[in-house]
Amino acid sequence: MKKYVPMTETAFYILLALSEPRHGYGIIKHVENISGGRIVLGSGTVYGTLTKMQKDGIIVVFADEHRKKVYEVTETGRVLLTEETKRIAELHRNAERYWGGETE
Amino acid sequence: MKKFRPYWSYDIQKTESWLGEMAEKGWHFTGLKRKRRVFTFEKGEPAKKTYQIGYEKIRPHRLPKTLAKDGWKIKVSTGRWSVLEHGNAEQTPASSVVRDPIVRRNRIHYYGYLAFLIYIIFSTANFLFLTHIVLDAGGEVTREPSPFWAITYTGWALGAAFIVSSVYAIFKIKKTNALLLNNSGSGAVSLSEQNEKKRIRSGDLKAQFKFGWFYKPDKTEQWLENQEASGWHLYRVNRLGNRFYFSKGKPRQVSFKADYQNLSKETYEDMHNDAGWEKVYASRSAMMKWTIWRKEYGLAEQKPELFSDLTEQAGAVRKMALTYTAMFLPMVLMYFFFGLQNILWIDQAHWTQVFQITTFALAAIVFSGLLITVWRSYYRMRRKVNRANV
Repeated sequence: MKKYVPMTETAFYILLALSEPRHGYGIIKHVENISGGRIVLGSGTVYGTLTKMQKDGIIVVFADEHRKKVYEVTETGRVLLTEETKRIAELHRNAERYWGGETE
Repeated sequence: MKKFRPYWSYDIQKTESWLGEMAEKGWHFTGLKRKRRVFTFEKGEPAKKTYQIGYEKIRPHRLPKTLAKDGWKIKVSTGRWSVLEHGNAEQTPASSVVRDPIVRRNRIHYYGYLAFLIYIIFSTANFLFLTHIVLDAGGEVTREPSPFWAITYTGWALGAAFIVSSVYAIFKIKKTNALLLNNSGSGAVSLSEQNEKKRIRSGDLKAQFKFGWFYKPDKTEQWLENQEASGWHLYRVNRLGNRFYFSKGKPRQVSFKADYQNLSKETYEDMHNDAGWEKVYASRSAMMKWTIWRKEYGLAEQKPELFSDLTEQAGAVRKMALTYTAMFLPMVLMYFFFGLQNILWIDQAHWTQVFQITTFALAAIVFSGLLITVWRSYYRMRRKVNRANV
C-alpha cells in the first residue's frame, strides 16, 4: 500500500468518488463536479487506475442490473482514504499556520 | 455426491444453471476440485437457488457489500474461481458478477489451443511432405520392428485425443464468450458504403491509403485531427484498416486517439462510450487490438484526452513497442542470418542465390524499419512527457 501514500490527486479523487458505488463514467462526472470542473479525468486514466486499485484490494467490482460495471471501495480502501485525509489535513493546518496565505 | 464435469469453465452459463437444477433436485453444491473438475454435492431439501461463477486474479475473494446486501454469498472459493450462491431464487437479484475476467481467461486458452492446432497441422504437413519426396525419388519407407513403437502409437493416440479436445474447446469458448459478451459486436462506424464511388468522383468523399499507421500512433492521431480541422470528416475505415474515407464538411475540432491493447477489453469500451468517445475503427483480432477513438469538442473547450496523464500514454506506446519487438526482432535476426549464410556459401553467382539473398535482405530491412518506427514513436512520446513535466 506504500504506493498510495501519498496518493496522486487522480487516485485520491477516484477513491473519494467511491464514497458510494459508482460506474466508471459516474466517477468522472462526480470528480468534475466536486472539483468545480478543474479535474476532467480521461476514461483511459480512470480505467487504468481502477484496475490497479482492484489488484491491490482497495476496491471491488460487480455488475448492476444492466450488466454495467460498478465499483465499490473495500475496508482497506476506507482506511487508506482516512489516512490520506489526515495527511492532507496536516498539510492544510501547517500551511495556514506557517504561511498564512497571500491575501493580506 | 460427486460429479465430473470437464470443460465446465468454457461453458460458464450452462454450469451455473446446472448447479441451480441440482439444487432443485435437492443436491446442494458444496465444493469444487478444480484440477479434477469434480463438483461435490450434499443431499438436502429441494430448493430454488441461483449460482454465479466468478474469476478474479486477486485473492482472497472479497464479496462487494452491494452483492452481500442483495443476498449473495461466496459458497466456494478455490484458486482464482469463486462460486456465488443466492438462496432466494424467487427474487432474482439485480446485481451480478462481472464477466470479463472469464472472457479474457477463456480467450487466452482459445489462442493457446489455436497455436497448438496450427503447430500440429504444420508439423504433420511437413512430415507428409518429406515422406512424399522420399517416395517420389524412388525411396522406400520401411518399418523397423521395435518395442518402442508402442510409445509412438500412444503418442499418436494422445495427440489425436488432444486435437479433438482442442477443437471442442475452441468451439465451446467461442460460443460461451459471445454469450457472455452479449454479442455486442465490433461496433465500428458502419455507414452505408453505397454510392461511395460516385461520391469520390464528385469530390465530396476522398479515400486515402495509410499503411502501417499503427506503428506511429501519435502521428496518425495528428494526421486525422488535421483532416478534420481542414473539413474532412473521417467517414469510415475499411476492414483491413489501411484505407481511410473522409467526407467533405465543415472544419471541426476532433480529438483522436489510437489505442493499443495486447488483449481486447470490452468493458473499457463501455466507459469510453459513456464519456462520449466514438469508436471509429477496431482491428478484428482480439489479440494485439488497435482501436481508434474520436471525440468532437467545442472551440472554447479543452481538447479531450483519453488519458489525462501523458505518462500513461507513453506507457501504452512502450507496451506496443515491446510487443512488436518480440514479434519482429526474431524475424530480422533470422533473415539476416539466412542472408549471411547464403553469401558465405556462394560459390558461383547463380541467379536463384542472388534472388534469395536479395529477398532476405529486403525482409530484414523492412522489419528493422518497422522496429525503428515503433521505437521512434515511443521516444517521441517520452520527449513529450519530459517537456510536460518540466
